[in-house]
Amino acid sequence: MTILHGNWLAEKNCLFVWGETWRSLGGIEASLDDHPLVMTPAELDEWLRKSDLLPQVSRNLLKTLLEDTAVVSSGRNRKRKNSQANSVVEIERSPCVLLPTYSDKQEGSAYPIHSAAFSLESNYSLKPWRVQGLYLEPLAAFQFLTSLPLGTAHQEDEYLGGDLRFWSHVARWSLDLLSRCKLLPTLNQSDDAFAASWRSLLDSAVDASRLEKFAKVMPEVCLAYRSEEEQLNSTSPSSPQELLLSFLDSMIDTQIRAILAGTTPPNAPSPLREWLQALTTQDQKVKAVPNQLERLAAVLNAWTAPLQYQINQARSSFRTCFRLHPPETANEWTLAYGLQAANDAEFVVDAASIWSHPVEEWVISDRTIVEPQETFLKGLGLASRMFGPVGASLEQQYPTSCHLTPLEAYDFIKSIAPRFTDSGLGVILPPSLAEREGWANRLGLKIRAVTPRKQKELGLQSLLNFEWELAIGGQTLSKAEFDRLVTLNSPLVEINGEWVELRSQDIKTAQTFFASRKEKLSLSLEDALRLSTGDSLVIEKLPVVNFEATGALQELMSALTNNQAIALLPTPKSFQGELRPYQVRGFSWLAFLERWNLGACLADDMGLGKTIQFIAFMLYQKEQEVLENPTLLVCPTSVLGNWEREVKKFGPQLKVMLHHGDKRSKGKAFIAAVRKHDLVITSYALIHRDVKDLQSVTWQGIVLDEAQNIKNPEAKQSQSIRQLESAFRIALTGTPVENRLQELWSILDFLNPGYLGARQFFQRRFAMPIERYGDVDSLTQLRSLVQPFILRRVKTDRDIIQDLPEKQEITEFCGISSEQATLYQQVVENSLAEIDAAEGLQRRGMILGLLVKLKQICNHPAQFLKQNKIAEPHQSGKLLRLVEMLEEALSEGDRALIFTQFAEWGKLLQPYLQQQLQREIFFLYGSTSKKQREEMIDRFQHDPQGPPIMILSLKAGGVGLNLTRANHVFHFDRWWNPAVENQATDRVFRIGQTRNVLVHKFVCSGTLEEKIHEMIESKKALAEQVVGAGEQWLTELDTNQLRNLLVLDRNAVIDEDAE
Amino acid sequence: MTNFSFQSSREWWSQRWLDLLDSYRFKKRLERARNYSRQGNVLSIQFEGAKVSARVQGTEVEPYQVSLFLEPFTDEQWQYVIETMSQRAIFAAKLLAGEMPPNIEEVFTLNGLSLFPFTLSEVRSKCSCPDKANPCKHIAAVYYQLGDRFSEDPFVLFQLRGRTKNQIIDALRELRSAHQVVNPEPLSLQSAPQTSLNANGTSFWHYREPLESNLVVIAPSTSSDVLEILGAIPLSNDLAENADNSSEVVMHYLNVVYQQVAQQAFLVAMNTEAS
Repeated sequence: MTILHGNWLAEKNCLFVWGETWRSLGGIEASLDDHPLVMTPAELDEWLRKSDLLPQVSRNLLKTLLEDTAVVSSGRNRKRKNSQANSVVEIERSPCVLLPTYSDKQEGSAYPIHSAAFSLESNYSLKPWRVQGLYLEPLAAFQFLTSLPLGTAHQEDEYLGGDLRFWSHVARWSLDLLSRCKLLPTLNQSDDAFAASWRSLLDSAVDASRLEKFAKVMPEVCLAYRSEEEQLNSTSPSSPQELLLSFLDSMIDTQIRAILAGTTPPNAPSPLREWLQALTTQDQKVKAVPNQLERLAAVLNAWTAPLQYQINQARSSFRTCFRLHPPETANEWTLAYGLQAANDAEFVVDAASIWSHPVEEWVISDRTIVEPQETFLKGLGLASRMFGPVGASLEQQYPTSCHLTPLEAYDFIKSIAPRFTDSGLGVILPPSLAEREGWANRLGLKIRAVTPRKQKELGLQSLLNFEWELAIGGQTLSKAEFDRLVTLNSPLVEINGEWVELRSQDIKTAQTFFASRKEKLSLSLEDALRLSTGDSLVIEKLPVVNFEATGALQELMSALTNNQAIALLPTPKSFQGELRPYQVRGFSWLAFLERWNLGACLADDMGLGKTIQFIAFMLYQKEQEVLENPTLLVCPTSVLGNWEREVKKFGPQLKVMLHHGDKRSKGKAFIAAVRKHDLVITSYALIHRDVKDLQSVTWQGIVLDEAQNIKNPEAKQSQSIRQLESAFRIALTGTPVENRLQELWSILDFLNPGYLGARQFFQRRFAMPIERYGDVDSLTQLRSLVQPFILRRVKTDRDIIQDLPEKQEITEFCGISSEQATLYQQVVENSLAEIDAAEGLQRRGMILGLLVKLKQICNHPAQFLKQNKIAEPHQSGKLLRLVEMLEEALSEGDRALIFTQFAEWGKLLQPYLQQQLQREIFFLYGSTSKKQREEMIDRFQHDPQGPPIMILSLKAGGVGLNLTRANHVFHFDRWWNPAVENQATDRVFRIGQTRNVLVHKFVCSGTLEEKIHEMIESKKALAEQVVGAGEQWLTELDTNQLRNLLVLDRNAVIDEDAE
Repeated sequence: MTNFSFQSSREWWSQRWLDLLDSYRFKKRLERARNYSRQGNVLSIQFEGAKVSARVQGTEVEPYQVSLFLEPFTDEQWQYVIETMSQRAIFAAKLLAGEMPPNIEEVFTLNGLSLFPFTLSEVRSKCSCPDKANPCKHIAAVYYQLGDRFSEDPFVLFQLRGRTKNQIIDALRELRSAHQVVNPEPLSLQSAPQTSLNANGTSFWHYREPLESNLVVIAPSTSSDVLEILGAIPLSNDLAENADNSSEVVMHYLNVVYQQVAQQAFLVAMNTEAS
């Protein structure tokens, strides 16, 4: 609910940071111009103390500033402001910001639109709002910004506004400028005083285009700040470029001073001494004889003049460019001059045309070149300083090019071209000679892989038949040609009309390669897959520069890299039910990967039916008669029962066995029992405990449901699972696994061991660049590497999932703990005896009382025993399942309502979930005041960062609520009255709902909840008549009927502690 | 460490000027003038068109007014000079790039002119002091300072002969347009794109750009190219004693600072990577 914003204030030379919160605007008494959603110092302080979202360094900086602010504003002691060197705070003189504002014409009121709720389509106007916040001096600003995470925001860390993220990227750039020495010392006169400072030097094309890019993507809010004195008109006092330069200069100046702190400049004569002094200490003022300083300023100006030309050159829309042409006949290279558009390297005007246009402005193809000849000549003058041949050519009147010897050409490519580009000049090299960094134009191997070698078992490590050729710059080379080129002893050689660079180091590598024994060369399916996903590979030290798959392998590659290309299988005959088209694709995909012995991760969103896709896959395997051995399915304890039920329902042909509970078989008995089944279901908890028995079985496959359970590779269960051998491996998960890198590595490493490298390698190569810096290249590389093994469809993807119903009801069967079972049985036994003895109204009352008690036990023993908090979460299967599902829903950015009929359960649940999920959670019940209730609903519906979960007591939640923002509804306990439940569900499923809604009905297996659920489901029509009146009908049952209804099925007990 | 050419701070045009002074006969007077110059008696020097005005503190309370000028070239002479310049692109190129072309003198010599006076007598001067001799020590003190001014801004020389650098550049362009036949292109009426606040496609609050790949890993630079391109600071003796040496000290220090800054910045970047 908090977003930090900030902006660079050029005039004040500081970073202004403020917090935006959300509150209902009804109850706010705000003076006219004060932004009502800005956090007060107290709120900000509380947020800083409570939330650990902000990195430590940044948090401490703000905390310190706040403490100083408190002193300033309470003590009204203005002196302190000046005495603080690094952190001056003026909270009373706040800037005004022109913000998108919603005006209600009827009520005559206006309020700013919350930044997270803002969209360009919103109907708004800009209006100034006074914003209270903290001023960070340059050094503090630098430290603050550089500690912020640089990655793209995930849902949960959107505590950073786009504006602050923008400045953190620019701060990174300032660090880059420092490390590249792109800086200049200056001396400036303002009035009578002289100040020495460091400034940025954006003379290279890279930095010039970076400046333009940052200026273009700068959020508009950055230009909306006005100090109080200024007219609040809509034009910004500075351009984006000016603001950026002010920031960069200030960051660079403050950093250099920090680095030089404590050092002493050399003893030079005055005024040099004073100037150097003022460049290294905190004080920028230069104290020397004014007219000498005036002279020094002029000298420095003349000294840096050539760079000024470069800077202007770098910023102009056209730059002088140099295009290298290989020799046509003789051994003579040509460097042709021209002008190139700064924003389009392809747009080049040749020298001859320039010479025929001695004009001030030349409009050509919708582009305007200002002073074309001067721009061109300026660039030539600059280039002549760096490269002799250019200087010599300028002796002509209208130079258009110069000729180069092969050695000069090589020198130009190797060392002059980078200097040219770094000085704001354009360089165009022949494609086969450009990109010296990459492998594209290096000497390497061209590989053509045909088919897998004949092997019994195919898999990632299977070796392929392949052919290789030596290649360079897209040209293939025979051994004889290669030898001929080597004898030329020239760094630039021509092959089939293309000039390429032949490096001596590469020649040596190739010669070693030819000397080695070729039959030892090997290429695995994994190598081929990496190559076709764009990864690099080296064989015998030679890079693979080109890869091609043909025949059967090509089909495999294209199917792997594009899951749409996989042939769909017919729905297995024995499948009881119907598969949606995307589900058919899902199970076909599983079968395809299984055929190649590749591990597969099905990561569809919750509610898309991963379970039935897997069941269909198993049935297909069985029908194909490839199931030689049983398959092991591992899942959380809370869904064991659910799995068994689903398998029996959709795939009754599959022989399924539950391995769990204190009566589970062991040793030889276990092995014997397992052999008779197709599918053995067990829990993560037991994997470690029974690892010996599990290892002694030959498994067809190992399947992990809720595979995020092995996200910690150090955990015992993760390690035990890896010890089990099997022919295929499948992982099912509903979390967006691609965004959680540790989890991704763990799951992929289980599925295809070694594919993503060792964990430390993965951490260094992918996790850090992506998580810390949001490095898109690494992310793209990783995505394409894992893409063949992950199939993820999301429920919002209407293209794929067109036929998904808008409202989907799912019953979640949860096991019960031994504590619940014991309490349940005790209560049933004791009460039945009493009920048997009672009659009439008393009997009915007792039955209703018993029902309430049993429901409480099914919820959690803590509720029944009236404990004040949930100390033992595992004592309730429903609670375990709820937390798992909520975590999954939150990870998808979903919102949920949880209905219960017991206010006391809500009171236990709210603090527990809040602590467990680390999110604020609402609880609305009978005693919630009208005001609180309205605020909760308002925040749940409108606060962009409001709590994503709301617990409602069914009675309180019955009327007049509109909570369409939720897309999950949980009925934690049951009313046994469909009408009541439907009414609750409709809080969410109303007009205005644009998303699919999942309704989860929780049922405690083996208890009366399951029996009543079955009664309702099997005779829906009847049930609605019978049950229509609520739970009264239960009181009419005789004791035997009641006993049958209430007796506990001990198979449903989940007990992890039992040996 | 980079080897800076400290000789460059004494460019040929300053040297030429000093040679001119050395050729003067009255060495004693010159010596006194040099001291005057060093002791800061020249209070100000201003270029006003082709004329130099200076204020020199003499024995009187009120400083003396010194003015001096060279014989400016006529428009016709300039026209020849510029025409000669236009024969070789190097002149326009260097001037536009902020440099004095090294062989500029040739252009004048070819036209029977000299950018520099051959003798001091060609330099016209006037001083408000009672001394009848010309040059008096006040004028001579200004001579000394002028040499340094030439190294700070060599284009002052053109100015003294009646043209500013920009005038020359403009004249060169005019000449080019006169010589070349321009094929008039159909003028497109498309105006330059306006970059207004709302038109640049960003949203008011949002910034969704990933960090540029080249900023992810920050590599330290190996050498400070900037200082190498700039060369030594063109200090003059009257501004700082022993100018060459001082310049060397400053450049050496700056070079150390640049290296230190690059290394530290790299470490900061690494540290944030590790956190």
